[in-house]
Amino acid sequence: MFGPHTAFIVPSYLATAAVILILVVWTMIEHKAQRTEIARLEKSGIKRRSDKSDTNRHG
Amino acid sequence: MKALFWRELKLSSQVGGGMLTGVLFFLTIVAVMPFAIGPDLKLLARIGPAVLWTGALLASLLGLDRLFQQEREDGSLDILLMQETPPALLVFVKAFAHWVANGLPLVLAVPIFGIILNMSPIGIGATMLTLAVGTPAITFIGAVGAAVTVSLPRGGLLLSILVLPLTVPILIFGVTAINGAVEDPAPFLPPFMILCALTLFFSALGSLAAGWVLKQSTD
Amino acid sequence: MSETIIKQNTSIWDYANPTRFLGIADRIIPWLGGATILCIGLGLYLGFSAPEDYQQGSTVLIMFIHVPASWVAMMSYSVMTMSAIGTLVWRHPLADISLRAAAPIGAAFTFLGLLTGALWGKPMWGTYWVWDARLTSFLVLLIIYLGIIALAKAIEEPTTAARSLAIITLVGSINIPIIKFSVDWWNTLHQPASVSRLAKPAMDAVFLYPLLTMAVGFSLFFFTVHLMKMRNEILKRRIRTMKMTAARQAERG
Repeated sequence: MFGPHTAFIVPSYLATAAVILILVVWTMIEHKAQRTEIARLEKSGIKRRSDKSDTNRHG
Repeated sequence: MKALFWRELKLSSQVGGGMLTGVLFFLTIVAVMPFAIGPDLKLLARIGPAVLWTGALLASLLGLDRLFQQEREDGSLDILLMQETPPALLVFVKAFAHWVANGLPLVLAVPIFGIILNMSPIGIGATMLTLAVGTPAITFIGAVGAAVTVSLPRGGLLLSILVLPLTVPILIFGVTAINGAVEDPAPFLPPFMILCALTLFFSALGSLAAGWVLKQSTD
Repeated sequence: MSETIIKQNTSIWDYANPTRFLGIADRIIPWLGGATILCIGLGLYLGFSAPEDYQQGSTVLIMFIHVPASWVAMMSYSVMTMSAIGTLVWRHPLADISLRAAAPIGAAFTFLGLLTGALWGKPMWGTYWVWDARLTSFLVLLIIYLGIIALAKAIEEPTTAARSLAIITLVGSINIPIIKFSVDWWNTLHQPASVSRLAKPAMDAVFLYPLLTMAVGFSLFFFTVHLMKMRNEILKRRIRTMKMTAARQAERG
């Protein structure tokens, strides 16, 4: 596809894509898990020290 | 300060037979190398300085994790830090005493190992000189690592990972200087002077940084 | 965490409040992500439509990811250095969060730089690896990154960890130029001009534009993931405090 060097070009792009995807997906999974954990903790009635009202909460 | 130095010297030479362990470890590394490389004496003579330097580098990392740990555990570190002396000076004295107890024996052991590795007298002399100048820098960089990992249960391994990459320049200039002394066209003095400069630089930087970390961790 | 922030009238300090930061991050991240995808897409299009280089042939395609990855790897360390200064000088909680968030991204891009470099080196120099100054110092950079990550994972208590990480990062940042310089020196004495035949002619615009577009895209990617990771770190600490409060309440009641 890209001349004699296809065997080097394709792995480079694949590896880059893999690393980028892993970074993003890993971060997103982490984020999701933390949001669920916070929701769970809040449900069981625990509040943060600095949390006086819930108005500035988001997500 | 003098009293502290002698106390440190006594302490660090007692810990686990300090001096002897380091030199023995050094000997093991040097002795294992020919098994891997083969008994070619010419080749061994050529790579001898590199083997000695690598061995000394690893051996001088050996006791570093105990530099502050024991005293932190029994609380004497806090007492030392509460005194008037600036923490950087304290770290400097401690690290220097540690070097005298653990680094200097390595330097003195070089002639024996040099003969095993078939090195020339000039090569052995140059190795001793560069090690004497260069290993303090390793100890001072290591002091930062030791201060940072002092509260960790298995800090020793982490300390090596943190410190080894930072010692690359010292290794390079140390071995380059020896090669300069042995091989004719290469110069000896420039890399040797850079090695001296690195040691001076790290003795200041390492003491300051480690002292700062220790001071902060006791607050 | 938030008690340590010094309240001032200037607006820049308001952004330092973790809760406000979360709000802003939530709003910015989708836009940054979109811009990243657009930029990398454009870069890929420009790159693949570029003609073959007369010297390097089609391997010039590897350059479009190798060079930006290496740039981001270095940029990441400078972000960490600035964060370390932020931690040490201003005791800023977000600075530590930024440092922790940047380390894995920097390590990933350093790894990518080395890997794509090896894959580029094989067809160009005939070998995957040479102990050339640039490669060696990049390998050392990767080890430094991994050491920092290991240290961050090892220390439980956040404030001690913040200071230790900042000091190690700073000592590393002072040392990296020294390593670079010493490795340069070492190389000139031992293997003269074996790799430097990679001539660097003034780059043609056909190659320069895709390269720059990709570099911007990779940087945008870095900042997107950096923000996402910072957000995660803040949430992680929030969970930690919540759990500690819960434990304290359980003890009392």
